[in-house]
Amino acid sequence: MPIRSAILVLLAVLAAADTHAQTIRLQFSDTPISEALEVYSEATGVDVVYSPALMAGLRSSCRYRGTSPRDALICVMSGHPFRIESISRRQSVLIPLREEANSDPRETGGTVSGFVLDAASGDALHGAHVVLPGVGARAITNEAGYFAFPGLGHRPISMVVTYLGYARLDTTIVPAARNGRYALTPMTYEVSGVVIEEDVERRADLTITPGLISVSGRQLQQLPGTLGNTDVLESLKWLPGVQRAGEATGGLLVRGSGPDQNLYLVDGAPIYHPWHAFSLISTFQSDTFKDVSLYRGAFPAEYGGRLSAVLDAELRDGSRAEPSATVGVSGLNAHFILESPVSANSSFMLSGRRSYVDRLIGRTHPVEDDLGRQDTLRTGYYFYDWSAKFTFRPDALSTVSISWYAGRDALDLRLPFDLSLDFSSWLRPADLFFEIDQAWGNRILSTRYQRLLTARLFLTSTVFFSQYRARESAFIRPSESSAVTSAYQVELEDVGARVVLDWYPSLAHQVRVGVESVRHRFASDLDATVAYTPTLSEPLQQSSQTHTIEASAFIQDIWSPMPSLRVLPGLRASVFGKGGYVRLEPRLSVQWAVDPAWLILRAAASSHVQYLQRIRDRNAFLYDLVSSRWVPVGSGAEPARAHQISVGTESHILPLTILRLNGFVRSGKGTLLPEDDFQSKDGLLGPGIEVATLLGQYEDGEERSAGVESGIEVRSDRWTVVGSYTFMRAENRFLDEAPGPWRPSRYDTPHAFTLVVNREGPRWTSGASLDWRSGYPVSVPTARYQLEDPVTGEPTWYFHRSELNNGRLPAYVRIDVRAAYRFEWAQARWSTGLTVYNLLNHRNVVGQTWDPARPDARPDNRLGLPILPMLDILVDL
Amino acid sequence: MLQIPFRFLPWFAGCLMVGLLGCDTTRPDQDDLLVVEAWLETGQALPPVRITSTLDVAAPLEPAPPQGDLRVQVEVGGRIHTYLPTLTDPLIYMPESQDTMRPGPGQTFEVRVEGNGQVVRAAGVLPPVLRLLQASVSIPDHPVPVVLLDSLQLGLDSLALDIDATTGFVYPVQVSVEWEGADPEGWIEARLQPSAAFSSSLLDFFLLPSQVFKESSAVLRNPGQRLWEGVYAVPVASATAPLPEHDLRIVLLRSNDRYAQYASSRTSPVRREPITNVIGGLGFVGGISVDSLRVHVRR
Repeated sequence: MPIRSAILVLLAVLAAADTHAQTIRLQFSDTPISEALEVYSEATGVDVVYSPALMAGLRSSCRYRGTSPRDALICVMSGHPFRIESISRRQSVLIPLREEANSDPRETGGTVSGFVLDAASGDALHGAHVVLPGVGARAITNEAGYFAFPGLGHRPISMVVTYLGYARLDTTIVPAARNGRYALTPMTYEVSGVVIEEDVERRADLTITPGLISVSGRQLQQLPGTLGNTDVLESLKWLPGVQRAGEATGGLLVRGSGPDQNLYLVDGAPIYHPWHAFSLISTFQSDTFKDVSLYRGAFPAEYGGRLSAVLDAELRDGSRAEPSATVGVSGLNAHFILESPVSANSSFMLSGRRSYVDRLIGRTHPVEDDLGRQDTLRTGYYFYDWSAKFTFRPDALSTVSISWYAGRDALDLRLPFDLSLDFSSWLRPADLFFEIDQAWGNRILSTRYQRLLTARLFLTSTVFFSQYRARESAFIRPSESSAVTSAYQVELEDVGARVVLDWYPSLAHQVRVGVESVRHRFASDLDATVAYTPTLSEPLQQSSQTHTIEASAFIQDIWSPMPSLRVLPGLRASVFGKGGYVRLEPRLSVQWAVDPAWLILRAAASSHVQYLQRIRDRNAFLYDLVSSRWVPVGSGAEPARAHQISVGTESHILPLTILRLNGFVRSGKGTLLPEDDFQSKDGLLGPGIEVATLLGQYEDGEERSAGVESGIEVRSDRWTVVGSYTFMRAENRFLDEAPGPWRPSRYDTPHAFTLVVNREGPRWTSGASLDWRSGYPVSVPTARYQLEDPVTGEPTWYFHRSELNNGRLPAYVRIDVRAAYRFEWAQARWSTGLTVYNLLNHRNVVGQTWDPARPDARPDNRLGLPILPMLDILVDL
Repeated sequence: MLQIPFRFLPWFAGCLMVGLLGCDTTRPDQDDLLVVEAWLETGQALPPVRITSTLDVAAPLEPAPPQGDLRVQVEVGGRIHTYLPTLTDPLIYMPESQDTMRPGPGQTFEVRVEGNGQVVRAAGVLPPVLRLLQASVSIPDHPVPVVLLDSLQLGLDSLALDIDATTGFVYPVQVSVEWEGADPEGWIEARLQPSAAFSSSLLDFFLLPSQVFKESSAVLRNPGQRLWEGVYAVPVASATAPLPEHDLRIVLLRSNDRYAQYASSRTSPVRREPITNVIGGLGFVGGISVDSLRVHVRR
């Protein structure tokens, strides 16, 4: 209801708005900026107030065609450090950002420092690269967009600021003017008329760690999502070494690891099950995030708790410039984003999303048969999520932000049992039926306080709460004399605090130290009864609850011994209360810019520890069906540890193009492998939910993987081409007294090729994507034999598999296409699109079974999704 | 305009070819394995040993005798018994000499088969004797409507929601069985086997025609006596149809946890093969104690 109301209000605003939108055309080439501003004012009717003295010598190169006066002004001012403040619809003021610099009496002279911001929204840009070419120094901004270069003297210094997806900023700065604010102009379709030569070759400097993918939310939107939805995790799968476990569902697999070996962070708070709709789409909606970093394999010492990958996502702060709203409807859900300044020093962002299929088909269906019997059937399924962030800057040195996320899926069914009949026949009173009531979701609350203590010392403290809850209830009446009831709940709750200090002792060092403490609480309850007859039943009631503390500390240093070489050593120490484990995790990354324009080499070696394991009961249908069940080590399982060595190269030898080549070797111990791989849920009740019982279904295992990832990325003003090819092998084995043989792991994918081509024109956006990979391993029968029943002598045929995962499913191939049209109407920007999933309707084989009683040995194939067209519409207000 | 990427088409095409060539479905070859089955029962004469060979997956469905001569020995309580193939059935091996030995509870045994360069063996312990005391049958007055289904597996990935359910009428017949001689470490397989194959192909999740359970978890009726209750279905054509008369065989089998895993894992041949305790081969050699009761069921 709240979302529907919000959408209705916004649409009403739209309808009432002026429907005449004026097209603005500007074209400048190296034109004095004061002249350009005059032309701008004539073209738009907007007066621009500025200091002519500050504009002296500045020139503008810009080409714009569109309807937004603000975007046109951003175009004119691109590359110049001014903030645009709209006083009214007809007047804007240009405020020099450097004049906003704050003079802090505690600072010593000779330090260049400041914040890098998004010129349009005012968001801090984390990971922006700041270079002082004359000095040979470079720095990367922290989460608050802050950077510092100490010990520079007092001469004016030229400075270059770059950030992925933003226009490069060249400026000259005097070290005495500290804590400046440097605004970068985003390159988005909202300013599609702007032609800015992107400084691709600078991107390489953004990272020291090989395997890091750092992209802005805007760039993620240029990659295909799920069925017409913008989705961070789905978009990331187009990058080398990343894939989804299932066809359109399942967790993220990074470099041959399992989905439970990834850490997902939203504004510093962990999120344990970031999926909706049975893992069809993720909780990470691309347009609500300003910045997403995915560390594949090797991550710096500041991150811990998982073996394979870290996804660190930052919600948008909310525009500090002007209110805006976006409303969208796709085939799966409707969503909106509101953002606005609240005061001169605060802003907010609020987004919501909800599926609507239950609204279309109805959640309850009163039915009546010919005999007058009445019943109410239920077909309810929905998911929603809310994200909100409030950012407050009490002074120029501090920022406080409060982030909140809540997401939930709910499935509510009461249906007759015979689903094999046609849909219309379901809608009748039924004596034999089943009811399913399942709900699962996450909530997080993160409060972050950032303060510039001195020009060389920056404090970031975070307090967070994260909760995952799942409920699975069922009532099944398969006959008049029997019934099954089950209520199962799982809960995992984290409460934690983290304090991080950035210290800039010299030009050569950027030190980060931090401590973190998290209290994990795990709880699960099961109350199930299978009544075979009115007098014979089998109950199962169990409850499990435990909690523990995980504490860690780290130190890392970005050390630049020479301009072309940067080294990131780090050490993380952690203590896990349950079991009293203490582990050290050394990390080391090196980047050598042989030539920043054409070749950058990187290497890393790291060690990671994971104290939580995700497991599920492999026997019972009545519980652990959709839940993510995390358990702490110390209950029969040891902490898992992985080591990884990776190397990478990056080249910008061609214009607009980045070529990447990474290699990695990874090994891990302490991972849990199913004791019996062929055991799958096949009964109503299993052995129960106690942790020790569940762990009994797993054995200590060892894993290893190695691979080569190659990628090409081409971005121009119109085209985006992202291609990748990955060769990788991933294996595991049991670690008994005598280790078993290595075998391909469940998601071993030797070859994976993806290609995304996207063309963005003034009106039309079109694109296609290709996903082509090896089929997943499957255990293929190698022999057939017969056994007799020990009592009756009845023979039964079985297939024997000499090894686990000794074969493969056929290669997976899928092509999706998408076309979207943009237009302006009612003073709003509209975009309507059509996504066709699996354009060729190629039914991929996603599973195989073999019947040993059948004379032939052909498998029965389980097929994937057919062609699915999905419409979506988006409105920007 | 985009011009650069097309230069890289050969590069990508090369990677694509590597990918394509590497994605073939594989089916490794494997030498034939010996499949050994023997069920040594407490207090009974030495049993036959059934030895077959695995077949190629595409071979006709006919059990194959092992190639060449085999040396088959069964060692019980330290005594070795040599087995020879029978003339009537080349798959069955019997003791060379008629021995009056009746292995007792707690005795260890080992079955060893050598031949064709293979040595396979399996060992175990004989359980205490199980004695079935009594059974009672409870029949409802009328049949009840019921859902019959093969599996609850749903293909969420492919949106395959058809669980192939049908509806019909059954008499749910409840059976209570008592036995004596509890073994705290023992496992029991209880089965209700009606003489007519009422629903042989259907796996019914919601009744209890058989169960494998730890003996100590069963209801303790009297000291040394345990109780198990199960339900089997007798399908009928309509809501008014009478219960067909039939014989019911009630079987209780006692063995160890390894047998319990074997019994639980042999019920889904499409999904899996049973676990084996035969080292170097397949099959199962178990020490068991079995008792059964035949009941004529009628209203």
